[in-house]
Amino acid sequence: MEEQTSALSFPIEASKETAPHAVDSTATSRLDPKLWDGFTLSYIQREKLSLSPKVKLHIETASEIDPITFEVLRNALWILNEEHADTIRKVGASPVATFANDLNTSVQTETGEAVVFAPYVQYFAGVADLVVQWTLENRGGNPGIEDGDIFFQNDPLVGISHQMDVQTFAPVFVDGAIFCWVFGSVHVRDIGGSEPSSFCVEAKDVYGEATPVPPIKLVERGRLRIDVEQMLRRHSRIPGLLALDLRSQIAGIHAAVNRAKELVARYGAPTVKAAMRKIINDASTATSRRLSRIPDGTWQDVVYLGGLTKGDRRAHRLAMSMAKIGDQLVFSNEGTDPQFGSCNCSYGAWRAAIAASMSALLAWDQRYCIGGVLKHAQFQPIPGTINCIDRSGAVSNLLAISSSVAMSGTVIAKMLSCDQELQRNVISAKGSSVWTSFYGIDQWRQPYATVSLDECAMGTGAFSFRDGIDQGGGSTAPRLEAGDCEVWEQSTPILYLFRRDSLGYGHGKYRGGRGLVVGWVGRGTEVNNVSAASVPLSLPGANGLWGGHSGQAGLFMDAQGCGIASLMASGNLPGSYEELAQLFKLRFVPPKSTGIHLLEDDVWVMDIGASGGYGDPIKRDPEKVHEDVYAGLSIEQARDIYGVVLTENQVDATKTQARRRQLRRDRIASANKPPQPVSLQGVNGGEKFLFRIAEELKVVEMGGEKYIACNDCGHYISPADGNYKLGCGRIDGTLQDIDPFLFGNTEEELEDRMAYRSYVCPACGVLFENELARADEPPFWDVRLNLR
Amino acid sequence: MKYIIGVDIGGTFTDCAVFDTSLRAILTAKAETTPDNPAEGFFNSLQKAAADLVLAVDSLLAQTRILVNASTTGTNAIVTKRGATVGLLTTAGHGQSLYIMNGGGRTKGLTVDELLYMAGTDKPRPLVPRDRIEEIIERVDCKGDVVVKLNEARAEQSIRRLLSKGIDALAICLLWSFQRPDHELALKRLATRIAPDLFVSCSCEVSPFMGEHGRTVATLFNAYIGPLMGRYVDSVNERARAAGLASDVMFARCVGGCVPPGEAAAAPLYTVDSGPVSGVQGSAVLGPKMGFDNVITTDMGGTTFDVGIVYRGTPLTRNETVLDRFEMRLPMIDVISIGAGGGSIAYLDPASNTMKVGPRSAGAEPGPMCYGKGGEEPTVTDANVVLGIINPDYFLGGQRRLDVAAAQEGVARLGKTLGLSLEETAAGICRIVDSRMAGEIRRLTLFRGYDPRDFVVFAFGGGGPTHAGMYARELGVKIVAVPLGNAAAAWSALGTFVGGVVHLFERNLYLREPIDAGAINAAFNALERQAQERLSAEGFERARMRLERTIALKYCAQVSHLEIPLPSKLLCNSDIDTMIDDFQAIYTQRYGEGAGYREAGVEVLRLRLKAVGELPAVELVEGPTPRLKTSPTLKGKRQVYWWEIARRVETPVFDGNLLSPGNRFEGPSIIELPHTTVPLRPGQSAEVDGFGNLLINVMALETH
Repeated sequence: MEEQTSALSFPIEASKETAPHAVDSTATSRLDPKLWDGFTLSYIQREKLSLSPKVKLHIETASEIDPITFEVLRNALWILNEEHADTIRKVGASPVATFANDLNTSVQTETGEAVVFAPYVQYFAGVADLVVQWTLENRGGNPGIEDGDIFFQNDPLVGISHQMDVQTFAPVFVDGAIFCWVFGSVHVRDIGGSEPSSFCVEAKDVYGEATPVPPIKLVERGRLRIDVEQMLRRHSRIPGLLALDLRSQIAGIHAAVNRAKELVARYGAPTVKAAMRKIINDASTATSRRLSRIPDGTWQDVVYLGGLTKGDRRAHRLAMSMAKIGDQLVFSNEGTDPQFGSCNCSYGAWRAAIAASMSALLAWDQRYCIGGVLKHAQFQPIPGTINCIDRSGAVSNLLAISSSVAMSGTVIAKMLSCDQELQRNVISAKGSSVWTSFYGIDQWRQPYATVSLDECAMGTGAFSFRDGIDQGGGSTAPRLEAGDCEVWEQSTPILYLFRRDSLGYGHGKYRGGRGLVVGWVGRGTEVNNVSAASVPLSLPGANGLWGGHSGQAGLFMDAQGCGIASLMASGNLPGSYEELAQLFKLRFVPPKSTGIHLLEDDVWVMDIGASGGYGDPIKRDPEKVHEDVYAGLSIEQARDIYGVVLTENQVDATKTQARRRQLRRDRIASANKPPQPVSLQGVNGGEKFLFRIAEELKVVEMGGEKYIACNDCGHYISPADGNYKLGCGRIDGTLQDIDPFLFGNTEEELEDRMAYRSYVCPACGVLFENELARADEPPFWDVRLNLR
Repeated sequence: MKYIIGVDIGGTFTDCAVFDTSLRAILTAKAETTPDNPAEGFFNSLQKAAADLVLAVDSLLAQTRILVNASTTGTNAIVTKRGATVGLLTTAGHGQSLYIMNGGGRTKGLTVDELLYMAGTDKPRPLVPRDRIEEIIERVDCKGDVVVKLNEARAEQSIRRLLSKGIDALAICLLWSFQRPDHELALKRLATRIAPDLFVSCSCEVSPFMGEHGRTVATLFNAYIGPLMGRYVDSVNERARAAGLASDVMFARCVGGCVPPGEAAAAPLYTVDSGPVSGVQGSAVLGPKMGFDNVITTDMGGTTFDVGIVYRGTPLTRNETVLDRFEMRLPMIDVISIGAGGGSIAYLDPASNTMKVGPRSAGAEPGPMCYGKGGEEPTVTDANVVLGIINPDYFLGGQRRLDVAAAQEGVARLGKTLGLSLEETAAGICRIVDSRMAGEIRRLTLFRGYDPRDFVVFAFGGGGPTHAGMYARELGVKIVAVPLGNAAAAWSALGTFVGGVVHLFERNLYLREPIDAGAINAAFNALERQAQERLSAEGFERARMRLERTIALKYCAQVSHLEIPLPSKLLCNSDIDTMIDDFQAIYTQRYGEGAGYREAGVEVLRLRLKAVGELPAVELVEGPTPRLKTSPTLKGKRQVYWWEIARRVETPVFDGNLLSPGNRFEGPSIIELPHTTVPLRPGQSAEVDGFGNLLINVMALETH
């Protein structure tokens, strides 16, 4: 028989052996690491880790691994990490972790590169590399890192979303050297700060929030440090539950460390390490291959946030730009306003949010291996801003992270629109966060504090080929769940009057997914308060995509002492928002409100909002619009947004066609003339089609020049390297033109004047894109191709 | 009346196990499953068994004391969407709960690789459209207090509206009905009054557990398969009775044990997964009789691999299950399944340029390439044929000839893309599927605090005995048992009749410390009265009733609970202390030292009474094991590739039909049974014990 060897053993990158402390060099290298040290400013990744000689890293890697052993080890590492998460879920005290899976676990290499993440909240794990690297640099010499240690940390500057998402992590030692790390994060119910449940709406800076704790040993050489545990418990209003949560994390770490050691014993350290490196390399290769299909260019997204503190009436700008050069993406937050209130995030969290979007959209088949994905990302943060705090920034209210997830999702989606195959992954955004915190005395006479999780049932954004999924959950947290109403009613003194589809959604050719609207009354308690956290209705933070309209922010309403208790006692039960609104005068609650009573005669309504739509609404299948009307869309909206005319509860095809033509004419008539029209007039088919860049925009070549042209009618809009918006008709309107109830009145809510601007083809009136901007801003340059 | 019979209708085969109580012997038979009319396969398998006993079916049935059936009829109706037209009544304000799915519906029931591809995911299609859900004015709170009284007049209109839409089953699921069933039961009476023939399913009866979504799904599924299962149960029972069976056919359930036809028809949901559960049940009853108290049960068929755990003679249970992408609250013996079987397809994953195996399966049609029925991708069975482990001329005892060339061609084609030889590829397919199965066993043992090394692996089903030597080795397990030799291939059929008649009685009782022993006593007394009434109505005398108590406890404010056994007696305060100590001990065992937090307090959630009516026991005979080990009958030799030694070697093949106690085998070798093949890997050995079990001594693999 012919002698045959395993020709396809995978060579493993040897670079780690020649330069053991090297981590990926990135554009952040131009930032001064002495300043970006996790103490003065956020910690950034280093070109080379500066390690104490006491730190021994186990770097030996087999030069090749056969495909069978690799697949076996890939499964084993995945199961090991799942066991870690599963243990936390079962032991933990926090329903937030156990029901809603508001946690994550990961395995990192000896220098912190991410290998596997559990399929829970992705941006939790996306900071793990920085935290491990910080610990190697700052704890390696003093007090030292030893076998059996477990570190605790919740400092945003080192890398965490907010103080409640506490992290525990441990080195796995093999032959006296650090072989890898296992890492876990869990949202705990209260870790201190000015507000119960630690969402400190009123904090002006981090000193008004739970005190951040940089990495400290919670377990030292296998022994729990009572002093450290007590310090952490002292921070919390519910020390017993925090202790339980910490124990769940310790149990999870123990399981993962033991399993990792067993794997090494079974397969040998060099082989296991080779599998880890190959998992990362595979994800890098897949990401690179996909990026290489797309032309170079820069994509941008801008979102305005508001209501960052009680009474805040300003529109705060968040900007994200992404330059694609070959197979690298360079992200910047330039143009973002200064940090304000408690809705900011640190550099690490911003980077993690981007990494989460990248892995979902570029490495979905690599089990979201962020370690490989990050080899294609570089970062240029501007400190002191909402999404890159300086030392004093407060972060407990998270909004900057959810916005960063949405914005990075949007810029990547816009980029992927250039490729026919990858276009399938394009999805619009749901950015804002809405939640209610509860605290008081529960129906079992115990003090309690918790936060609602209904917001986990957000709708997905609209896809480029179908509607968003109602209550589909976020892409970066595929297993986040809201939990049953009964489970919440058992642990919280409330009743759910109803839980239904949210009141609106982003309109478009494909509509955004709906979230939830819930109504609560207090039950079995004399002391019960709620606090609200959302954003103004006029700044929803959920941009639509390619002509799809904005989603909704979500809202709060209440009615105090309204008489619902006696109503229910007499046999009535308002089972929807509409019924409630008919019975009681519901008051809009400002986006940041605290200490509102929720007793048996009070009503609290929360709509968590909905995601943005995709594509021009007048291109939506009229039969779908007919279904939408059945599910709550008004006849007027069907006619004016979608151009669909219903007669006798049927789609009137002729009138619909006429109505849609009329809408196009109306758009052209109401639009400002293009400031920079292209003189050459294109005719569909007379030129060479290159690729599409948006639902209704394409790049064509004519006479040696490249142009952006209308995909619908062929009209030339702008030179290919120009801003297409300057060749469009621009309609300046407000979000209230779409829905006066769900979008709120800018002038009542804000000092800043905002405009909702629609860019249409000056020839055919098709809608290319919308943007929410300060009224005096020039058009955003959201697509800037570099076709050289 | 000397026979006890179990019939397990599986996806591909219908297995029949006959226990002769006078000879204490077991006989098994296999017939093809007939999906369109499962009763056909059922009686065909009886026919084959009768033929082996040289009897006619009617005289076999006339001599049968008990006939138990485990069936996939209900599961199939759900999966193929061929159930009833169901209407649903819910509490006002919660009519969309079924669609909202707690926000988790998009990814539920998907594998990790499926759920991570956002654009490829969606919620499952609901079983009930929006216009068949009616919201009822009523409300109860978590303590069972009525907040809003039931508006019966409006409810009657709702029910009439549903009836006018042509429903033939009604599901009723109200909030907190498991704490206070009054409103649901009132609605049931109302519905039955208006439409006496309507199949009505109440959540407080089907799934009396917290969590309205999972309870609604369970109730709905129960209604969905209700009418169809009623017809199935009647037809099987009537036909068996007509053919001479003296008693009613009993039906196996997912909680273990079986029930009479009336109860199976009223709560048909509990027949879901009754086949795989019976395999675990059989191991739990027969394992300890043969000296195995801790058993990992592994059943590898054509499409799935089912794992269960028996710890100290008791099967693990769980309260949730995902069926057809819907999660529901349903107590059952814990069996988890993954897509790994003989038909699992091996393919090249272009993203990582590595080989993956399953979960996609070639199923029975077209089946593996070696079936020669048009399969175009290599499977695990093909790999075993290439390696020489499966004898192409003795598959299913020679009933099906296998095409070796086709298997080789498929495996070689895959190997070429990876740069691997034919044998390396075939062995790789097995190693990958074995590592996935080992991973699944880890999930069921280590994740729950059990060390697999403390267990014996029972290997049954067509593929279990073929692969157990490898996956058991991955887990550090020392002994694999192929239970009762060839009976292993019909093990689940055997398991249907060993658990007795089983009813579960549940009571939600929320107590905090100091825990009132009187409240627990009162609740259990009430449950026991119910249980005794039910069992005596079924003809069981006191002496044949066994009542087992368990109690669900947890640390206050913590989410996970544990069910622990309680003694059947009047509890006093010191018993409560013992109970809490037991809880803490088990908690520590499950989750590790320090994972519990006593200061938080302990609370009682729920009581459960398992009421067993004992059927005639299956007593196994332990034959004498000769002191001198005997040589088994050599059937022949063939070239088999063993990856541990990376080459083909001439390997002895033994006839599994002629096993006798004291036989001893050394690996590498192959033992061919009519319905399965047992390879003994290099370094492994095996012995036949006095019961006829083939015990494989696994031995750790020497690497590194």
